[in-house]
Amino acid sequence: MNETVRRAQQGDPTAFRVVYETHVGRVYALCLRLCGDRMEAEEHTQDVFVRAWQRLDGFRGESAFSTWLHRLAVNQVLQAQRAAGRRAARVSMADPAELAERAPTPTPAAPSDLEGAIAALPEGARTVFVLHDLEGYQHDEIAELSGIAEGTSKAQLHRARQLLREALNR
Amino acid sequence: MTTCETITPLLDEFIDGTLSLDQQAEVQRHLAGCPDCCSEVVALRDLLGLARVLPRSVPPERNLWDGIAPRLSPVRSRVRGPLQLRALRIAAALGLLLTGAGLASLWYYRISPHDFATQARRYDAASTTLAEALARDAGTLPPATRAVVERNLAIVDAAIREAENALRTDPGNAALEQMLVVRYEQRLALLRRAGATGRES
Repeated sequence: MNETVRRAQQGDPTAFRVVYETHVGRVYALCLRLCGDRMEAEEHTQDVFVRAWQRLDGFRGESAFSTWLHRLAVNQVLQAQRAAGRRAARVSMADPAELAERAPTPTPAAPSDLEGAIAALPEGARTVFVLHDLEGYQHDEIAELSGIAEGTSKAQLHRARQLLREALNR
Repeated sequence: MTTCETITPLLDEFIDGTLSLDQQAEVQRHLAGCPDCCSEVVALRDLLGLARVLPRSVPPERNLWDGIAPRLSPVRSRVRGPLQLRALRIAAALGLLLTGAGLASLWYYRISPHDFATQARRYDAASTTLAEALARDAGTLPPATRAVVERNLAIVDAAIREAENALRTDPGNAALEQMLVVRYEQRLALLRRAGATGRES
């Protein structure tokens, strides 16, 4: 196991700062692409590192630290999205107008056309595309992480790819 | 004879390389005679090519550390060495002798049902205190009761290990965390009952 990670595990905040500096770009990129919104991604990134600090004793070096951290980030964003979905469902029963106001407004995250097109995808399609095509997760893993059927994951990937191609051809 | 309608739904998995060999051969045969589906494949490959060159790392536009550092609560050394682990296992085996009711109460006034880290720390604290109490109160349970408690502890410990292992590969999974908290509670309740029995006997 990396010595810096080991020291952070023992409660050394200076070492954890180094861990943060090493991994923040990768974690932020993942959060940004999963949620499609810069400010939300910043909040998620902060939450991921706080959770990582709290759960570091659960990391035993059986996988790469980055793999462990990225999984934590994926769980963080997907759980927040599920919670937001539940809130939106409650709002929709009470006040459809309020739901419309709260609907996310995708903000293109990077200059590349593809980044902007990914950010503009519907949430379900974006999640599957990012996890499958950018992060290398398999459909069965995505299904488990997202709480959807494997077939739904495949359908969302197909939809995401179609929408991205259309967006890039405009 | 395959048609574009039957082949199109397979193209995603074709370029991902996850089709069976038979299906793959079927798609290849169709592509050999179908320029439209060939164009689809090329377009999909182009898209994935673009995706592959996206930067893996994107620095945030502002410093996020300032919002993280104040939230890092101080922790005592969290990595247990082999001796510490052995002591805890012995403590668990001797848990029947424990004056456990007080320890379990440490668990029951937990702060928030959703804060796994806090709950795990409380459980950890209870286990550590337990180890100290065990050294003082050894030998108060009848052997038959002790055997029953030991068997039950072994079952709960196995469940805890299983959930902890799963969490190591899937950190932050809320369902697993919830499951683990339930097992922690079961274990502490067991210790508490054993402790009460020990005091009564």
